[in-house]
Amino acid sequence: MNSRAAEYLRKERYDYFLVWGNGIPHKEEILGIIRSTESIEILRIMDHRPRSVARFVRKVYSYDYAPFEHLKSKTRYLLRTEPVVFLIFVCNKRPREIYRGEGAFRHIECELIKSVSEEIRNRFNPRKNGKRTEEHVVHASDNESQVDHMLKVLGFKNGIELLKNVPNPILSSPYYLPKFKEFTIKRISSLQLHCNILRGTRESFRKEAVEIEKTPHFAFLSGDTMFYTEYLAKFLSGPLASDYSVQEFRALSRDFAYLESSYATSYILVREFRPGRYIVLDGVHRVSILKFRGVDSFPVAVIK
Amino acid sequence: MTDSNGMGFSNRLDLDRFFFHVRQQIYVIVKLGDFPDYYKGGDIDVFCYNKDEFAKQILNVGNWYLDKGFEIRVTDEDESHACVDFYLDGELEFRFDLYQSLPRYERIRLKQHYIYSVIENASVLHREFDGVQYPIYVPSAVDELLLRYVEYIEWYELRPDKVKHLDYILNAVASDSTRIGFLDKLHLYTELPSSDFRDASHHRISGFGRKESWTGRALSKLLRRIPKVFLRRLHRVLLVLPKRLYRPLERYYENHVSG
Repeated sequence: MNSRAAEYLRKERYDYFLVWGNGIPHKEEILGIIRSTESIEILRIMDHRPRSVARFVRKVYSYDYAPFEHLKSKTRYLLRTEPVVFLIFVCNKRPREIYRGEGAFRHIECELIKSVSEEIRNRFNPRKNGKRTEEHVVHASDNESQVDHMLKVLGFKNGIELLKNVPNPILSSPYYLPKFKEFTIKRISSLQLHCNILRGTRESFRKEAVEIEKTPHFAFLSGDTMFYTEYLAKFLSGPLASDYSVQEFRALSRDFAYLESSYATSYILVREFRPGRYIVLDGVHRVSILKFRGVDSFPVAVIK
Repeated sequence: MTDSNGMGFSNRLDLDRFFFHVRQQIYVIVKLGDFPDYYKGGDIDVFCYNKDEFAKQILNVGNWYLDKGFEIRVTDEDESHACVDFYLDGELEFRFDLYQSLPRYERIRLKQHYIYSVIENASVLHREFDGVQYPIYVPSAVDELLLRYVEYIEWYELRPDKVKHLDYILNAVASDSTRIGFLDKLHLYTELPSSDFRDASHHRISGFGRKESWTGRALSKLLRRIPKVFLRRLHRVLLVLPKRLYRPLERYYENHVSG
């Protein structure tokens, strides 16, 4: 099969939701709606503070199907909103693509993304006389070229390739790791593991390798929920771009079964940073749960 | 357990366990050998449609061996080849070589889609694991001959023991039907490379299906082009030069002689 055909027949696509300044107070609930949508996986969340809202709005809509002149009046309200936006990049695992519109502006979009953004708008768009206004709190992508454009606007020069990155075709690994060809699966002691934890402020932070017991994750499991909650509040959607939440972690800690059934190759990923010492690249939450449960050694994938 | 020469099999991994687990996959074990017995450091070549999925299934079973002190090293060689190696105490115990397309042979050209023919025409052998019967897939009789032939051609200069494949083929093609089937498929899917291509392969050191590097291919292409380019230039010079010499003579003649 040639690559064009493969591209056409693939089952998933990437999308984004952009929460405008008027939706920021509902950020958590909006995330909750997206999180609970079946077949949508949140890959990256981030705050963005555009220098000029007007210019940012123009950039966002420059990849829309209708010329910006047509959207000017519809987006005027955005100039009055807080100059901050929240972006949620997702993997849409079962897109339902349809054609919408007529004539020159006929375009393809995903019904699923449309229905999620409509649900968010119904709940959080400002209301006048009991009716939903068209001052949308959320904007969503229609196609992947818009996602690519948005990532480039945010400064990711590779655009959508950032999200499409498959570090290794055999091993389940998050998109943000660099590509690797070799790895070793072996059992190691939890004492050999260190986790990178962020220190400092949201704007000026550094990574520090600490033992598992000293992570906010382990503290959370031990009953000190504040440490983890504050950690997320401080760094989430900034330096921490993955979709973490207290509720999700609580659910994971309850149901987690390492390498069971369909997760048989979802290993904790580590890298050896000193002989016999490993740093966790993906899986700090899982490592903390295993340690908290008293599991002293477990299989990991050591990436070269 | 020992083989017919009294050499001991290792068998620390239960190959039946692995192939029972991949029974839903579409694959062919290229050289069955003494399956499920194997020597320490042995390997098995598998042709399959999806080497990544196959490797995942191997890892799935491999997790079971991690408790027994094994380490699994996985190398994603390229888009169509991956190795899953099981190590015990730092020594290679067994390797699964997974091919999604044919390995590159240097002394014979094999059409790439032959791999699909091998997989689709596979023969089924029945084995048992944990009291449950399951199938393993091996090349059909004709493909077995063809693959052995390729192996022989590829290696006979460096590995005289590969003559065993030729003996096997000669025995097997005693009957007309097998011989015709074998030759038909051989002619359909293979081609002998040009002599300079074969000469180049004499210099190889080792490596079943080792790929000629991109630089090597580009360089040899360039070298092949040089005489062509030179001849083309020479041809042009020979065509143009007489005209250039002739024109001044012609002009001189027009001005001085005929005038």
